Amino acid sequence: MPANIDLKDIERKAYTSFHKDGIVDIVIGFCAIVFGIIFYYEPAMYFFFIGLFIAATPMYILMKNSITVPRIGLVRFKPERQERIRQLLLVIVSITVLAVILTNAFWVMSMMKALPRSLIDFLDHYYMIYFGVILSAILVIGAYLAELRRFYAYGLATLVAFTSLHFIDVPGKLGLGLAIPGLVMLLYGIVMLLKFLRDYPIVKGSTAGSAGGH
Amino acid sequence: MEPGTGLPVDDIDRLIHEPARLMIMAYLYVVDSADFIFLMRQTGLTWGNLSAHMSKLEAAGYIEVAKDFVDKKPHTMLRLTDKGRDAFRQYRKRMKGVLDSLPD
Repeated sequence: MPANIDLKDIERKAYTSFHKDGIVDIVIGFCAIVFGIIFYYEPAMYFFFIGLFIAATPMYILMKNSITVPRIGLVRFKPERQERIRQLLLVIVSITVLAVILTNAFWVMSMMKALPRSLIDFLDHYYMIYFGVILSAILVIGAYLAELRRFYAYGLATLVAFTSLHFIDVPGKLGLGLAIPGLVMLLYGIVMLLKFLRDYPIVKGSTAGSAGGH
Repeated sequence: MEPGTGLPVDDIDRLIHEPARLMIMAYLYVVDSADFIFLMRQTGLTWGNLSAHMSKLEAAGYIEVAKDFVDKKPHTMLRLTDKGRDAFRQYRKRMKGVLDSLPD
């Protein structure tokens, strides 16, 4: 009999087990690839990402309800855990909005020649590092708040991809910078999903609507 | 005190003390609610085994059945009652007391 039941560890295991299906990786990776393709071919259409992320939410819920819940069941976490998720969404939205505002302000001000030439040249030269750091920060903060450790690796992969592309002379760097880590997430998510489907077949004799069998 | 042991084990809730039920109680203690499949996956118990333990816990008033909705369909969720939460807290406290009272 355990002398001290580690309730935090049990809660963390319950939480991480609900996310070992790779669905969040697949959805974010897919969005990053689509966004990367849009950026590669038509950078001016960047505002499409808002619609993409709005579409991603029902896609995520649909996949969770049809794949995860019949296999691993459904759990509602305590308000403290839900608060962390709310914080995560708030941080992601805040950083994204701030980055979009700053980028647009820089663009408008540089068009109006309201910025010093040296600053324009600096930001124009290092824009890949700028975006790489912002996106990596979002992923690392996400990894911390969501307690999904693999997102630290995605954050690092994003920073490496953007930094490497800074030194390589190829067209559509921003699009590639998004698509490469997106592909990493998508592929790893698919591997996780296949493993999840193998390890957790649908429970025989149970349905989502009649889970309480006792 | 249990005769011969010198330990206050009489205070231990034997319904919770059974390992499988202790696991069930611990999982339900750390979440708001969970369904039958989730508990089965987490505890590693079979459907029938889990069902039997849940019936005992429900009969003791430690767990309750609640209805939730997934895709607008009703979904049976299980959660600890206040009595169940209190019993689990007491169990932990008393077990700690018993183990702390053992000589090194």
